[in-house]
Amino acid sequence: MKRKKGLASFNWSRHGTPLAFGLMIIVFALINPAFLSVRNLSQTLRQGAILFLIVSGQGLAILTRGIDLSQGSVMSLVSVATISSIYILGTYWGSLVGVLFGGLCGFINGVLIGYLRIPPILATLGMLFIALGAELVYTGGVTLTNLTDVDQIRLFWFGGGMLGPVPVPVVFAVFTGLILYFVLRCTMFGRHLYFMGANPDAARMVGVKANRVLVIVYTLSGLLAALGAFFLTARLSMGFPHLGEAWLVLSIGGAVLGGISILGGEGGIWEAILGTLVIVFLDNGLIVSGVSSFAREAIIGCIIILACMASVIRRRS
Amino acid sequence: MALKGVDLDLYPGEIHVLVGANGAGKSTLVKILAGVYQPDSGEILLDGNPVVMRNPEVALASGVSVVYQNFNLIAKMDVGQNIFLNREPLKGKILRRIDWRTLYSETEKILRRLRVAIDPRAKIGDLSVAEHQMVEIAKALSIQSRILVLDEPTSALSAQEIRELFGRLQTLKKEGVAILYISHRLEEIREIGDRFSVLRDGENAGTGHLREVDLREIIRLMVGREIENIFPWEPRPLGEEMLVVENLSSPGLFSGIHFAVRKGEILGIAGLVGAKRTELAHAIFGALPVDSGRILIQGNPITVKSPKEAINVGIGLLPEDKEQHGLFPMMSVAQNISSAGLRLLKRKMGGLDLKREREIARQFVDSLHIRTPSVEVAIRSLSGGNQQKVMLAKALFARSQVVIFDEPTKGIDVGAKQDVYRLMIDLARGGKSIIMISSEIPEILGMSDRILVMKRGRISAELSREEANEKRILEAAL
Amino acid sequence: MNPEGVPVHSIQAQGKFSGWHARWDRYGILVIFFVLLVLASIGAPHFLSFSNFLNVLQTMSFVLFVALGQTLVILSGGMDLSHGSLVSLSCMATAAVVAAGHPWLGLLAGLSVGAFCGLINGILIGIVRLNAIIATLGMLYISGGLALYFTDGKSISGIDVNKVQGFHFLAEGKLFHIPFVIYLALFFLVLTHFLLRHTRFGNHVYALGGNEAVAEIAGINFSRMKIVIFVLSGLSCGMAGALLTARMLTGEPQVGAGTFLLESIGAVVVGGNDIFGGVGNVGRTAIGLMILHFLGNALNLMGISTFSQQVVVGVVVLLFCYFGLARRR
Repeated sequence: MKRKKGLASFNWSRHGTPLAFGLMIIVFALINPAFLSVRNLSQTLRQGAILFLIVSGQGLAILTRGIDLSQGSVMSLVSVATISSIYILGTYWGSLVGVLFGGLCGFINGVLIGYLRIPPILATLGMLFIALGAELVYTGGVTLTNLTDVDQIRLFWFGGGMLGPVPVPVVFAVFTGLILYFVLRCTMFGRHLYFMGANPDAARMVGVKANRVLVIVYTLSGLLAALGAFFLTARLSMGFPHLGEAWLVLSIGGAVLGGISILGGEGGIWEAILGTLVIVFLDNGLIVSGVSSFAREAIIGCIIILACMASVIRRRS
Repeated sequence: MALKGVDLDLYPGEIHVLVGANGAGKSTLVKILAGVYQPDSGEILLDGNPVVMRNPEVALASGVSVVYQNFNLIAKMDVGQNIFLNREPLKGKILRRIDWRTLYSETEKILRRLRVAIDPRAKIGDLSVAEHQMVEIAKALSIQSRILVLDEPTSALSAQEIRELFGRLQTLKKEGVAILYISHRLEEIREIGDRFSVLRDGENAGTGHLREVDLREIIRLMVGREIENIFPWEPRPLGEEMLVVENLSSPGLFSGIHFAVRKGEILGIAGLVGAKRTELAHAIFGALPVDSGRILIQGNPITVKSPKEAINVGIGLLPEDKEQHGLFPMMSVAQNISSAGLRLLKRKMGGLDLKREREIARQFVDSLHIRTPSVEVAIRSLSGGNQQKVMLAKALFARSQVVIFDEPTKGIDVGAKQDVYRLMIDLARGGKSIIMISSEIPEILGMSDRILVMKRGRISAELSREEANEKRILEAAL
Repeated sequence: MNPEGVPVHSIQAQGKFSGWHARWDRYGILVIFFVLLVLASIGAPHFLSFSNFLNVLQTMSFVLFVALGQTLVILSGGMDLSHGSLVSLSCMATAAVVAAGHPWLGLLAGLSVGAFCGLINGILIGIVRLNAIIATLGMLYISGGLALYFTDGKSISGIDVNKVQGFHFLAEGKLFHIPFVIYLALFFLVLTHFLLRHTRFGNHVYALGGNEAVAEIAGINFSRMKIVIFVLSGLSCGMAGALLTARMLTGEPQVGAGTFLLESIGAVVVGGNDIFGGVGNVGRTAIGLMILHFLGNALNLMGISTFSQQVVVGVVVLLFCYFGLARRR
């Protein structure tokens, strides 16, 4: 193999993203030093923890050569469902029910994809509209703010509280990350997931039950998105029917940027973490630099395309 | 380096047979003629003028049509559309639109010329394999091809269909079309061919007239040395019956399959493409449903409804198409090796023992001489031969007692082939039962203790090693 | 790419294309449509009136353009997810130019924007060979974001009806009591039908959808085809966006964000086109769209909210998806 010279000798596919990340931090810090303030950083980390949960779910789906387009509207649904349930059942039971709604949506996705063999894009797209429609019907587009003070305080702890020096969502994210890391690397289920993404036919030949795996994967994706929505809702203490709108692009972006190949079979928790960090700091950096939210969406869309191109080119060579 | 310098000439109105072992370079040569590949050196002369087949369009325009083994047809479209794809006749001066009437009438004409009764508006997906082939040949005729390359044209045809094909080829001969006919089937090339060329290791090992040689000579040219030397076969003690298949049937595929394999035995299954040997293997492995018959392992009847169950009872399969069915390309060597036997790596606490996985993988790399920098590299970076060995390790790891090899040496270089043969013998000596499906008759003759010949989904002959020879196998297979 | 084409037995596994099974495949959708009409006229008041029908058809016409573009893309084996936001972007572009006093230039602007974005899609998919889903998903975000970015999320208003009467007529005017936009939509329907059935290009679209590898071997230029297809798809969005501006006389940055995407894909699927490409026609898409719109209309008349309608439409699309797929197996 010829030795590559200069720029080509740098292992772009492995070190490209971290390098870009470092550069990005520097650029944003230069534009606005407030970017590096403790307050900004801890806020960003909190967002990051939430995004990590959602990206992990999306990552699981993408690993199996699928995608979960419903995450955004499931989040909105969960936000609304959580506040409503807390109103009826109290903080803790209500929260649980709210999150389970997300799991249910994910489960339905899983059944549509795993057993009815509907392509993931279509199934989750359909679920996107169904969940969105359902929660808009229920709320009429109105934000829910009818919590009692007691519930509100209890709930806020989840989203805005701290466990020692660390925000609660971050603790939860770390915990989840560890579990998912273990599952993906060291369990049969995790291995089966990779098999399915790497080669679905061969996976069948070694005895992977694709339909079961897919149901679990999409249920998890729904649950993780639901958890993310839960922490966001907890911080706001409101049921916001448009909560998840901006998050779908961040979730796909985070997964793909970090290195989870859109073609399936490649990537893991490290990649999810990396992608989350990049996206969340990118988003935050853009906000701090004064870029409007609309441009942000466009920029991240661009980046998704670029990252996928890189993935495809890498796989081809 | 697939071709090292091939000289070949083709005359109009002749059927020139091209034979050669797998990997001898036949398909590479064809792809160069078809404009898919570019040669590094040498030239192609048409009517004495050099032609560069820069791409498939140029090749077609030069009058070269190739009918591949896997047909270039679009199932969702109909016969006429397929034949005239990208050459649709147009009408109208201002608004150039497709002249469907002419398209279908021309299609009809060509089909009639070939004496083939197919509705030009029939969807390809509804037609039989033989009809697909006719459509492909019709496609070539519609371009007024002067050179028709047929790659294993009879592999999926019935005897009657073969006769009809030969009749039509004779018609084409009379029209002056030059036909390059690639085939494995030594018996039938006598019937249809005028001259022949033998490719071996990327070179033309010999050309001549079929009427002037006998088949043994051709085999010798193909193989290059005595058959016995390549195959490390030696007699070994055989144990009790390990796998018994009774009256196995799968509608539309195979029926009445009845055979047994003993411990330490190598059972070869010969047959032509279309004999459904791969389907049988997949069915035994639980990847294809069967509707009657049963399978016994060591005397116990078992039901195999999924590959997982097959693996659990000790049946292992090395699929023919390893890219599609066997490998996980971007996963590591170790992960591929353990893929069929993950249950064996389970730890009591839940989870997999990754350290043990790596260790075991390393052991296999050593014992099977797999050339890889480490067990962590992605398997797609390994050569074909080494990938095949990983597949073997995968079956061994899963504690397979019965290992089914489907075309084990397809697309592998000679050196690696030797390794695979030696490994098979070692396995057999170790008491495993081996079923080897192969289209290479020398391989079947050289490695098997017993040979089954399949023909169109049924077993047409069972031969012992002593009584088997090429002629008998071909007779039973045709 | 596999230059040796499709493995023999997988061609045959495509299933039967003739027989009575095929008759249901061909005409079943019409049956479903008529059943829907019957049920709707029973269950919904005022459904069976000329004015109601015209109303539905008028609203539907705007979406039909987009659905036609999507039909082209899906028949060729791809999918265009950017449809909703391309409509929004074109709407904004058109409004901006119209507000500056040039109505017909505005129409051109809208079309150009759609075509340009389609060009980018086409290049990403045809030359870079990116997955159509990803490329158009990215384009969805990019164009959606851009549509909002230029006016900071606000709509563009201040278009004087009197100054753009001709332009406005396109969307709201009537010819022989029938809204003009319906004629436009019909015209493009016939145009697209002609393109697909009677030109080489159209035949090649089907070929790509039927089997990309074989089509390429036959010499069909994958890159060029994909670029043209997506440009046309983008143009169809441009048309829809421009016409929406003509109708509303404002530029709404999120006008397409609602159901345009779901309906464009939904119409193609419900109409019975093969979601993987290669089989189908624009007639089916039109019927599919009519089913969705008349269903929505019936629900509306029965008093069900628009949000619920969305749910129902989503469920219906999924159902048709499943049955369509189940039949193919």
